[in-house]
Amino acid sequence: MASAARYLGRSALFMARRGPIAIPYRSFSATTPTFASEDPPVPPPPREPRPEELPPVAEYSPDLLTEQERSMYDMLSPEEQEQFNAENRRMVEEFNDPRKRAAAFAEIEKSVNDIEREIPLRFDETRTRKLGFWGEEEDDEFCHVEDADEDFHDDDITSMAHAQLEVHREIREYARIAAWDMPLLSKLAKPFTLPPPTHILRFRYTTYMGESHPAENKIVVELCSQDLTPKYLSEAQRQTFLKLVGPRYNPDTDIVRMSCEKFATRAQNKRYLGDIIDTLIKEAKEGDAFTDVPLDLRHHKPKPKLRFPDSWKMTEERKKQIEARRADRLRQEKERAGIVDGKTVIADAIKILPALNPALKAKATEEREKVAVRVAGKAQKKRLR
Amino acid sequence: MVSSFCWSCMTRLRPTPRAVLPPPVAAPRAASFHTSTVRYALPAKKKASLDGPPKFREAKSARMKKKKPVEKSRPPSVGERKALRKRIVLSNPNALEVEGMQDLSSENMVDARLRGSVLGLPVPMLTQLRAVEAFKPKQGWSIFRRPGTVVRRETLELGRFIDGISNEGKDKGRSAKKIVTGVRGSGKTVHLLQAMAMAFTKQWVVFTVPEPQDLVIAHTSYAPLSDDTPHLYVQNDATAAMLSRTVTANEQVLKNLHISQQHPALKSSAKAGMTLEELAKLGIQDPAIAWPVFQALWSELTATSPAPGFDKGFKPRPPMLVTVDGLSHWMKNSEYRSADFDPIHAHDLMFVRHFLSLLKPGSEKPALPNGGLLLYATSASNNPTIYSFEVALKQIAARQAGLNASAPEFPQADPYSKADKRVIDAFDSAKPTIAKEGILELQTLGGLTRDEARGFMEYFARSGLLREKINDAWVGEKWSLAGGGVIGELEKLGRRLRVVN
Amino acid sequence: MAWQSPNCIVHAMQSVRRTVQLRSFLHTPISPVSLRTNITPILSQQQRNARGYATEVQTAPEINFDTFSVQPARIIPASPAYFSGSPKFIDHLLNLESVLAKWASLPTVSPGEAPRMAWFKLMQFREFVGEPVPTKKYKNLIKILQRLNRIDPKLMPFEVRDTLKIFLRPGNPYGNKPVPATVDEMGRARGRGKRKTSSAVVHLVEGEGEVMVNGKTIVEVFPRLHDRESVTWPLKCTSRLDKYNVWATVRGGGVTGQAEAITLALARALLVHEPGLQPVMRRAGVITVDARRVERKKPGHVKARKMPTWVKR
Repeated sequence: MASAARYLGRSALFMARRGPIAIPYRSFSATTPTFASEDPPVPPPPREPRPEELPPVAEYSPDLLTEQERSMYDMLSPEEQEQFNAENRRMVEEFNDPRKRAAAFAEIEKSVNDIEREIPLRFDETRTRKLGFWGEEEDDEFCHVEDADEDFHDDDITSMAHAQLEVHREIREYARIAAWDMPLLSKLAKPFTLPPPTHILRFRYTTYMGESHPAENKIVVELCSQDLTPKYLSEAQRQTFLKLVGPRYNPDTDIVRMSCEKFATRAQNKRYLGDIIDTLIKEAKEGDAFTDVPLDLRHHKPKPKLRFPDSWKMTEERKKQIEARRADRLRQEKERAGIVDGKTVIADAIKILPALNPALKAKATEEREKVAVRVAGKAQKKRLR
Repeated sequence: MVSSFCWSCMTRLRPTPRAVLPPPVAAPRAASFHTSTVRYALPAKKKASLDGPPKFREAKSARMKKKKPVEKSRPPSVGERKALRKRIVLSNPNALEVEGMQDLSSENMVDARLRGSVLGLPVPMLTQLRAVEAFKPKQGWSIFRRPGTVVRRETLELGRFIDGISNEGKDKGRSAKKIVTGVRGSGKTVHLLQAMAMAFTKQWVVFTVPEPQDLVIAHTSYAPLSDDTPHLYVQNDATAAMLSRTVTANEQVLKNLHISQQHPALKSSAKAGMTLEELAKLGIQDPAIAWPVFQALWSELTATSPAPGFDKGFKPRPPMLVTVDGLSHWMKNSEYRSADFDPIHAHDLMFVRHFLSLLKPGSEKPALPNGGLLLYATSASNNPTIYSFEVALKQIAARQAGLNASAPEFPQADPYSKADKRVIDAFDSAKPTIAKEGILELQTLGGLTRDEARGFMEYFARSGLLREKINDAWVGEKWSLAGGGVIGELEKLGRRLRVVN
Repeated sequence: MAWQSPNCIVHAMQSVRRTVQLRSFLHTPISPVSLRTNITPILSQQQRNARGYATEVQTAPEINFDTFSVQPARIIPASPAYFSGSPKFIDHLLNLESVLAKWASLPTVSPGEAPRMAWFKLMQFREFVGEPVPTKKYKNLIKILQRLNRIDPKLMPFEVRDTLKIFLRPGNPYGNKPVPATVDEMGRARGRGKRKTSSAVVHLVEGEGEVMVNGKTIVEVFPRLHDRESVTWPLKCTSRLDKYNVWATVRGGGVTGQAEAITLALARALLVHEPGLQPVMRRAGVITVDARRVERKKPGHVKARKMPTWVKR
């Protein structure tokens, strides 16, 4: 904003200092200035025939004109036509008369020679300078900037400044478009309506917003294979159609998609795609049905879709079911005789089992010894008897 | 048999005195969202070795460290390590005896009140179960006083079914074919074990293939079946091993049954009046004729009536239980090679072919004419992924749901996936024409219900393994952590010994 | 640069006017009335000065000593802190201190219950007073403000209220609060969480304690028990594990990161159902975001911080 204000201010100041002057006209055209590209190299012409050898030209008449010339000729007024005819007739006459023709050519030759004499061609060899090891004398090619002004005479701003100005002009141009033209677009707005059932093809164009791009002419067409069924194809024919399109078919979305960028223009590509679809449909109807070939879907890897389980969704019945189960569990918990506790189980076992209780173990060994002694005693008694 | 789990270990697991432990950090930076005890030992540091290329901008000297001489003791003798690996410990004398635990019997097999409780396996039956290799080494039998299994819904259904076939009634002589699947640790092998135990209590004949993988990894001998059929192969040693398993486990039943028909393949060695046990032992003694002997035994056991001339002393044959644990190994090329060094498909092995042919409905008589049960389980841990087998299982499920094979929703193999046609055909069994024969079914084992899980965890607590109060909230938490009561995961949670103050 | 443009415009306008006037001078006879009406203030001042020189010198009026005694002999600054370098700030500080001393006996509430106030940030305050204010001194001022703010809102004197209002940021920064999340029509509460490089979305619905992660059971996704416990910890520490079903989607990162991302997401979803559980979960550490991420590797370093060792040769 500040810079814009500055510009305004500057120019206002200039204008004020200069006093009332005539404002130069400046066109606010929307087109950017185009710079003509260099001409392609012209091939060397064949040797020119001598003026005497040239064939005589046919007598002039308006019917001999080419189509374009003729259309232009027709657009002329009758007087102009008359003038045009006379002029042409005179030229043809001069050309067909050998003397006059020779004179004309001689004059041309003479003028060319004069030029050559004034500026003689010189062929002296320009010796290429030998560069040193470090190449010190070599011109720095990075110094050659197109933009740099070779000789600046202080009568204008620099070309860099011109470029900068050009940028600002461009910005302003688009700002004008945004402010004045774009609101008008709303007049062209149409409410969206679904495409009619006859329009089953969807074409995709690509624009790169004014920049040229190699894929600008690419067209993509999509169609849903189910749309074809009753009207264009039977179900069996649709299967054949899908086999024909091969990996262009996406079974998840049931969409066939194909593209074309073979031709230079969009219209051609679009036409080609339309023709291809026509051919496919025709082939699916009339050609080989490929019933022995199964539909190949190896190109497509189905994505696993995770779905929230339906049985988990909270509904009235589900709520009741959960509540009933909880109540049931609570009831069972109350009814249960005793809760098993691992610690008490172990504590009880320690009290009873001799293997786990050293006191009991000692007692058990004592008893065992006692029995052994008793048995031994009995045996002794027996032996005594 | 010494358990590694002893009282001294229990004492060691008691909490260390407070003073020894480092003081707990006052406010940990990140909360620890788990219940396992903290490990105070620092993780072992990696050895700085001089091997390998030098690190980034680091010097590497050429000095080599001398290797310390490693003390070499004698390696364990042949087979010792495998025996240790395959050892099955069924009892832990340090675990507490659970009071009031019932044994599996023909009466309580069908008792729905016992659902959720643990039934012990009768001690005399253990030798039979060991013979048929019903126990697997990695199952947690070794932490309890004696082996026992939970009665879950599927167990009760199985019990009712086995009871119905054995008893006189309308179900007598029925047969069923089931393929048992389920996620890892869902109790498929134990389900087979329960079926075997029930079959033994009902005096059935039990055939088992505990390790189907062993038949296809080219670890046993094989030979062409005959000159006429060069593409079929028999595995005599494996057949002899199976005969010996069957004979050891079913000795009592086979002793009382006699030969009822001619066996031309066995020529003179099979004599009239021979018991089936003696017949089977022929194959065990001479593995070269093991396959014909097995075929003879099978035809004897599936006989419904005696051949003329063998009427004397014919007894009706008992129902049969056939189990295979880990089916998918049979669904691909085996490691065996033919004479042309082409891989042999597992279905070309006669052994495998025989057991898979039982899945097909019989034409004149059922595959198991005297009734019985085919239980083929898949495995979720040691399991090759075979696309055609997966499709076949889906097809079975669809057929079971009443879907016609020509319906568009019927699962079909992708025509471009190179599915193995033989595998799909093996399970493509149509509806049986004979009334007593059941359709091939797919049984999927899921998790336990909360009540069953509670009974299972109470069993842990009462064995002295779990020092917790087994109340509803605790069981619910463990049930969720075990992915909805997957019994293998519940067992892992139950056996996790923790220091509890 | 911005000052330049108006200046230019002013210059331009003045020059325009000057030219106009010069022309009018040329064409019309000089009339003092038209001059006075048309010329710019600067010009008029010059004119006046010029005229002033032309007039005669008058004597000064007599000094009225009655009024003179009220006037000070020299100019006295308005604030006693005028020579301190930051007089306005010190005035504010002294004022606050006096207010605090006056009302110090009023009962206060705990800092959590006091209304939340958006005081000036340091930079804003410097602009507000137009003086350099040291950070530490400003912190002390904020402390006094907070102490005053803790006075029981029911007993807050108007004087204090007005004083505090001076130091508030314009606008209402704490006014726009996010809409509290609610359960959707399926009874689900949604929560999102991140940890390391994983991000998780949890849909929590009342149920029976089932947990599904990416459409699979928790056992399949997290084979390690530790991770499974991490996932369910928010429900476990509030003993709600058998009251909700969890449907989680988690992407990115490793196993631990995924598990703890679900923890955070689950805790946030649970807050939607039961906001009262916040203190419990805060203590359990499940709604505290762990913002640590992997530190980037730097050039010249072997890892994020490790420097290559110095080698002699």
